[in-house]
Amino acid sequence: MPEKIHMKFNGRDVEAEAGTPLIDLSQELGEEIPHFCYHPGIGVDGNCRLCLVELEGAPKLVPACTLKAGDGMEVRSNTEKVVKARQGVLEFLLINHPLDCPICDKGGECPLQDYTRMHGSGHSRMGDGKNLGKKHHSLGEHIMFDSERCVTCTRCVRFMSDVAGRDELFVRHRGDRAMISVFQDGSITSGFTGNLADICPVGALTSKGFRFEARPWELKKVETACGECSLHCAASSWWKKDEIKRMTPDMDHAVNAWWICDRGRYEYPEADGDSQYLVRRQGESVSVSAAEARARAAELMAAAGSGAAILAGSRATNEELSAIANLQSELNGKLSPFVSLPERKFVEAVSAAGLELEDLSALGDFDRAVVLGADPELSHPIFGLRLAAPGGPAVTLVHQGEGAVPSDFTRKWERVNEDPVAWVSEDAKPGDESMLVAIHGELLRSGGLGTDLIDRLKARPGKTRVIVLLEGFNRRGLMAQGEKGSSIFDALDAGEVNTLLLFGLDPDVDLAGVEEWEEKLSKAGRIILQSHGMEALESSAEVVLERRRAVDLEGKVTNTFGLDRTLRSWQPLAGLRQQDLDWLSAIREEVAS
Amino acid sequence: MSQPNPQNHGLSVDVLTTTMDKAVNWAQKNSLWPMPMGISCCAIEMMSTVASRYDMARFGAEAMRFSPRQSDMMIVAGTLTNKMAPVVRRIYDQMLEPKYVIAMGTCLCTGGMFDSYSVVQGLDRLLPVDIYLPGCPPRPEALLDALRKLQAGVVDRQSLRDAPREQFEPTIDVGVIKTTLEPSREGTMILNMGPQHPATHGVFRIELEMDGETVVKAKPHVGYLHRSFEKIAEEKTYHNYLPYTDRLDYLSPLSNNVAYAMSVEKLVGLDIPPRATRIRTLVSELARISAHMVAIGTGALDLGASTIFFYTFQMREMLYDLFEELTGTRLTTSYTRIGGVSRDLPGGWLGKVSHFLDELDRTMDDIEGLLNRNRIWLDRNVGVGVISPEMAMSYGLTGPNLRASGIAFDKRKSDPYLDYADFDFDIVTGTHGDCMDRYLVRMAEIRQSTSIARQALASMPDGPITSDNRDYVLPEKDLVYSSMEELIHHFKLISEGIKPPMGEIYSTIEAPKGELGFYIVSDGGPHPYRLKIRSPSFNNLSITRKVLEGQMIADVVAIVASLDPVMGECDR
Repeated sequence: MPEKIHMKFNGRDVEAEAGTPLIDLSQELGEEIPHFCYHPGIGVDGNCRLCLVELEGAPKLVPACTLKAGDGMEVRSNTEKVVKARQGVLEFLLINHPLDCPICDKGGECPLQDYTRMHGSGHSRMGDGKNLGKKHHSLGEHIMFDSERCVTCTRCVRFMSDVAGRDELFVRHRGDRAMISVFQDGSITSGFTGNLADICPVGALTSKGFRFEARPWELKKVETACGECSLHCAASSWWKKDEIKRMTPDMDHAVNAWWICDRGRYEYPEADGDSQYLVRRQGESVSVSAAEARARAAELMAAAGSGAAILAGSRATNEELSAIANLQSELNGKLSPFVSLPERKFVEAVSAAGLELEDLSALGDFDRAVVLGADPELSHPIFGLRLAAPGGPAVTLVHQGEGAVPSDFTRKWERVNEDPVAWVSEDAKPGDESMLVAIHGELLRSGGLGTDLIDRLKARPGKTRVIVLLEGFNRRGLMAQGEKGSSIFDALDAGEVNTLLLFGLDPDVDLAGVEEWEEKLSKAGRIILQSHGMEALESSAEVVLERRRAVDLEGKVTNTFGLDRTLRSWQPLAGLRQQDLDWLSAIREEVAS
Repeated sequence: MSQPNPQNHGLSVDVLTTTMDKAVNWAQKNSLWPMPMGISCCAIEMMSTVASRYDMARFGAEAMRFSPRQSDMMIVAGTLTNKMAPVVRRIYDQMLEPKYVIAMGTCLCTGGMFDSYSVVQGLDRLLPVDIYLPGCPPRPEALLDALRKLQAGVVDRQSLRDAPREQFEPTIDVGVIKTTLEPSREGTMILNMGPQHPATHGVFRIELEMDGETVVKAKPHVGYLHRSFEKIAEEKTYHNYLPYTDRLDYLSPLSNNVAYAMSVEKLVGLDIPPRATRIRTLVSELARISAHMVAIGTGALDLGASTIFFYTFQMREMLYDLFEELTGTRLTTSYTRIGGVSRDLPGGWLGKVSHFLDELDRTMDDIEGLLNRNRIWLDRNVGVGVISPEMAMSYGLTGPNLRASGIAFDKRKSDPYLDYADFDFDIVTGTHGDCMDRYLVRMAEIRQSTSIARQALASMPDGPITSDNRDYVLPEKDLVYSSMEELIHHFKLISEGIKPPMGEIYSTIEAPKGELGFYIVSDGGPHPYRLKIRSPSFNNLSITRKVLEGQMIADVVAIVASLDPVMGECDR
């Protein structure tokens, strides 16, 4: 437990944990000290001077971002001297700030606006013209830069070097000509560039995907979790009417801290057009309403009786998976409604051995991390980002083949170009240093790693934790359903299934071990399809239900290290689209009666 | 025989005559007979269109006679509520075929700024519309243009509507007009007056139980112009709500603006600079003059003295010119801002006001000369609709209606606001409380207002026109376009709104029609938690139930006109 200290803040007696950054403390107390360059996730720089406060015993004003709560400290952020200093800083920042608010994406959620409104003088004394700078200048795939708006707080520069692990940005020139630049006028290539638009306290770095799309007050924010990989970072989707306009991260120390990756931020698919529900009539696929398609599917399932079966994959919520398990037991209890999970044994053994890493904020506690498989920045980007954070473990990346040495990171990771299974068998890494072993789900799926590895790791004297980086969307939730019965493929071969509901399958992952799955599944005769990436079956399917985006889902999913995450969608859409759960229960009732 | 002229469609002779249809169309085009369905603010501009400056008679469509059976062009002007819809529909159904509809104003095009449960979101949900005339309100020139466009359409009838009128079906539930009064004894009859009646000055409705020509019982109905003013306020920021106040008493928007701005300033505890106060005082008095001009002009028109109507509207046109120069618009001025006024006085404007006041004096002399000793005027007004002081007080009457009954109550004196304490003026009172006194009080008040306005002109201070408090007051527009701090404050004030401290206030002014009060409850958020308007017309009309009893039917017209109601603020 950190030590409790007593200090005075604006005359109030405050109890706090020793070492709490003063700005964070002021926010908790509801008397935020304004700041630009400080960011809890990026750290202290002390360059913007907006957070100057009076510290008892200090002859001059002190930047609050450099202070940490200490016993007996007395800090005042509301004295005349502080107010005047703050006004001065803001006035200087606005001297060359362009009159862009009406056309600036940041307008309405801009700290510079908010601070000017709260702490500025409100009156301009500037008569001369402003410095003109580089406007709408592209910095890579996702970010647009406007140098006139920049207040040179260098949050972006420090984010790239200290958090994302790439020294891609720097400050060129000095004084009022200082400008954020990319080396050699290239573009930033990191997979986390979207965060720059979030952390920029002005509208200098804006997200191209959100450019001129909406004003923040027109948007409805829905707190959900990202669905692009199995980490399920805390994130919010922002909706304008029925359209999703952007994704932003929410702070969650256990998973993603303040960040999300560009994949999660930008790669949510656009909503399909109207033809999301298809029904086969006289050999033709006809577009119908959701209710009609569901009714037809339920009718087919009920008519088939025990010949009906379900095959569900990882693209479903825990609630849906439970409903499917219940429905299948009603239809034919001997069959498993779920795809087989080769990694189940390993993951359950890790859990049973008490070796599972439960919280990514603990990454800094390890001396060493071994990643078996491809660079996690490509598959589970936020895990890669947090692993590379300053003060983190020494990382050894063991991987062979494509993506072995993915790119020229400045982070100093040891790279071993060997077969991870062989490497780990030879070198069990004994020793008493604390170690984290991250294992890609792909390696487990192929069956190369046995549970003997767990026994060996458990025998290590040093603290050891294991994280399995599962593929797919909700493999862990699927795993939690347990083993249900015999494989559906045997039943298909035996001709016992004539109507098959394919629910939430992600064939690249869920059917990766099944050869010629299309042919095998087609044996069912009648197929009801609600799955991504199975276009091959679409033309012969009796009913096609909407392929849902993660941002449209409501319910719980379990992330790769066992945390339950809640997905939420915008209510009006959720009401229209999230009826699959009701529908599954409805089929169950129909079958049961 | 000459060569065939190709322009004559191959005919070898020139055609001198035309088809019967075309001849009839041409005739109808030049004699369109308007049915003035004046519901709210737009109706005031419609009246201006008929008055002498715009002179709709030039286009052969001046005969505004509130009688559907002779009319063929319905000009619907104002906000259509669900309650009013069956009335409009019935009158339309009674009109002669072929008939045409002009939807005057944004409310009738789309519902306009009143997106509420009580307002029909566009006239085309009720009637087949021929001409949509947007504007809030449209200027008289625009109405004339709409008329000309309609005339062009009448010549070629096919071009007017996409679908034939016979196929038109209302898309709203039209509702029914209910009669609620029952004869209380044998021999009486129930007579409905309004809501579409020239003498009810808007959409006021009275059900009358008549014994011969004598009123036995009167039952007033309000709500035909219920536009949800107070509920809408709960969705608007304090700045956003200002334009709604224009449309309360749409005969004196300026004083509504002043009353609202003052109430918000009281809520947040804001002082405004002396020049702004003096400008507000001046425009409040000009607004009073313009409102009383309508009261007297239409009151006289109701009793057959149409000359007065033209005289007073001529004065209003002069005032509109002044308002337009000052605020940018004739009627819906939205001139005040929280913390001051929106624009400074234009150069030479005070001189123009002075010139207007001189003109007004002469017109006042003319009106007094025409009416004050006019035998018919005296017969119709003296001793008619007497309201005793006790009665006036018990019904909560304020303004000229109260003062005509002999009670010297005027917020400008009893609770001086703005600069009224600095000015020398009298409270005018009557002695009998009859229609004549109400007329005389208004006339004398115009003289008093003229005097106050002259005093304000002579003592206009220099200085800023808005407070420089950036927490609540919009920065000056020029600075918003040129300097950063001001732009940011403007942006945040508009997009977020001001956040007054938690609390409640009631603030009143002496509006032309009486005590206009705003009661605002703030929960500390950017929208009023509750905004209640104490409108003088609502209270003033409540007395009709009492004062009409025992009067002759013809005097009902004189009495209602003398109470000078405006339904915009009554129904709210």
